[in-house]
Amino acid sequence: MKKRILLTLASLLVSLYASSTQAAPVKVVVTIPDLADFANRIGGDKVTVYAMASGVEDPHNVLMRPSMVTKLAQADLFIVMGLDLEHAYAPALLAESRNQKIQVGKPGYLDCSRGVSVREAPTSLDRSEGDVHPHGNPHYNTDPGRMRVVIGEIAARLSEIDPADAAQFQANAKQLTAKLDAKIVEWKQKLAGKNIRFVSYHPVWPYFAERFGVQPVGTIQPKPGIEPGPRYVDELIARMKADNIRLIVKESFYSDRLPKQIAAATGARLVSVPIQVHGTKEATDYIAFMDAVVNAFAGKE
Amino acid sequence: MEALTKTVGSLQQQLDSQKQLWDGFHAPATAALGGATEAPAEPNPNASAGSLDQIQRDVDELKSAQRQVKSGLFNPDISAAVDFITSYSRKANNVNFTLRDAEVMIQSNVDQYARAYIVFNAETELAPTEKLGIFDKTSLGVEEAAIQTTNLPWGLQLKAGQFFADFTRMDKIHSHDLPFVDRPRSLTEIIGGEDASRGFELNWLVPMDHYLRLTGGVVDNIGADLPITSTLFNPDGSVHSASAFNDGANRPFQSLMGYGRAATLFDLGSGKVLHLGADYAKGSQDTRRQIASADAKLEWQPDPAKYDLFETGGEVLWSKQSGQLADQTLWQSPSIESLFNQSTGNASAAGGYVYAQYRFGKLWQPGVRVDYTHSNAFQLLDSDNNGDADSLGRLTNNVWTYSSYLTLNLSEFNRLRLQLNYVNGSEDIVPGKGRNDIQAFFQWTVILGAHKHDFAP
Ligand SMILES: [Zn+2]
Repeated sequence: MKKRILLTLASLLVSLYASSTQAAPVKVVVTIPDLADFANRIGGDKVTVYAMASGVEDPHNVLMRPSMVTKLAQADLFIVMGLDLEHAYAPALLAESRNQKIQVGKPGYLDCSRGVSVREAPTSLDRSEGDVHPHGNPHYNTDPGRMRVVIGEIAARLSEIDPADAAQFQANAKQLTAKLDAKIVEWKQKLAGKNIRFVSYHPVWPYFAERFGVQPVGTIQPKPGIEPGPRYVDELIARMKADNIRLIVKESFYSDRLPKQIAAATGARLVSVPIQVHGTKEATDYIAFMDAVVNAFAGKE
Repeated sequence: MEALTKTVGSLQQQLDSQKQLWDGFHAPATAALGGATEAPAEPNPNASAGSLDQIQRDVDELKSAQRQVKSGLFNPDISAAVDFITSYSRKANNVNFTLRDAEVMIQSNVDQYARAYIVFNAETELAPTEKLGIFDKTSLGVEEAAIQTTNLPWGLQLKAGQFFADFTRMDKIHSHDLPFVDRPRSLTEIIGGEDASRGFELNWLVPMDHYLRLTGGVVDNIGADLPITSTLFNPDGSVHSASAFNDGANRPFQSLMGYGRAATLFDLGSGKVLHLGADYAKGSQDTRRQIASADAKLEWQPDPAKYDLFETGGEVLWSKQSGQLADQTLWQSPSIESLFNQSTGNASAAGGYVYAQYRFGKLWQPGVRVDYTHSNAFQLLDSDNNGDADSLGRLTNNVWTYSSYLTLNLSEFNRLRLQLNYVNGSEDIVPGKGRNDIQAFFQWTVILGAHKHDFAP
């Protein structure tokens, strides 16, 4: 026991010493795995990255775990998507961490939404409009164009925190952006001219739609986060039949009971799609995730 | 029209200045990458569409800048809760409509050193066996008002004011946030309601990889004193009991209550999180009061891709209080009065509860709970059978409460709950009507405004 306490004390001292020199890697905590992928690629061996969400869950609903607090307590940089995407867990954990470096407004806190243009920002705030998108749609990670901005933000912030390695961060970010740009061209080609109109479970896709010219025409949830009643489902089916909607996009973590029922009634194709990195097995990193999404929308040729 | 133009003009100015601020704030990001934009570097056949895109983006960006500035304004977060309960007691044949809680909470950062919050409320005790009139058992006022530091080093946080002490797992939770309709009897009996206290509390998130949080506090009291007498009933059925410890006329330093709590969490992997906690509190001088407790909670998310959540937990508590007995004017018989004024005595209580609940999807959450409360106090005896009490004796009471409940989470802010309690005591539960009772509750709780999720170890 005594030995353990001594060891703990020693490791405390070591970490104190390490933080005073700049050699130690920047400790980065992120909410969703997409941000972890970027932080890792930009930071390389100059950062350690911890992602709170595993990626398979609803990003609005992540179980708070104790390691999240202790990781935050030691972090140099906390990166969030913002727009209340992480409302259910990030603010509470951030407060509990008591880490002054990463509180809102400090250089160690990066809200990636501040640099992107936001869609579906409500003109008035009213809870009868659903309970999860009060500041506009937070699922902008489905648009690689907006994620270019995020890459820039992460590189800039890492450079601010660790100026000695700034050149490397910028080079890595440039490389990542170039790779993404090439993929965007490829993804656009895959979806071009298909006139894809679809119904999704949750309103996740306005950014993706804007970028790639697909058309969301409705959602199974009548309002973000609100489950539908039978009458709403009947109306949706009727509308889909009338408009000849051939695709239902189910975000991977939702139950397939209703989507299957609607698919059977309308004859539409049903696909289960990740909405973030690690959302499904094939979504191993951001580009693989977008590949999976684009392929699901495009369908098998 | 002119006025409107003016307004628009000044709005534009505001926007511009905000954009300047914004750009200044933003400069490192855009400058560093040579201006990372949302438009990927690709051959663009339609240049004018591109510039339109750019304009749209600028507008959006302005809007979002405005949004950010707006949310940073100095208005504090305000939230409110309404907790309305219909209760029914079978033995008492009694229905109550109880507005248990109507509260308004205001919270904000004070400056770079502290944040503060105030909770105003009107709270009414849940008493299913008693016929309550309007404002019976209602307390109105400031439930909590506290200042909390935000920038102490080494993971320390200091709180001062009137607050629910970080003591036990469930007793610091506001009644409308409990997973059940009623607070477990063991908590109410042993701690005396919520952990309401006034004083100072320091808590420390120990800086290491394992989560450990230590709390220590000095307050005037936690909750309320143990009742010196078990609930007794007059021949006419009216309640005859009182907290009758001599409080003393002043409060010397030694009589303050000190308490501590250690809470730790274990990440057991595969969606399981175990919470453990232990508490001890002690006050001295006129009444020596001690409380000790231990608690545990296990959360299990069987499939992270689903909303299902299993939760089980419980607490065991023990409390003892001793001191000089005092006349509380309830005692009509002169012999009892003198008996009380001369004696020292003690009361004790022990018990606990366990519960388990499962959330199926987002909406439904059924659960069960068992509570056991043992109390040992005084009772009035009528040795000569003349109808008047003439001496004191000991009385123990053991009460089991078996509950089942079903919660319907309509949304994050709107919740319905049904609960059934079977209460079985070694003394009367309903005066003169027997030692057991079936009680039913229907609860409707809504939250307005800002809703913060708490991390409560
Ligand atoms: Zn959402």
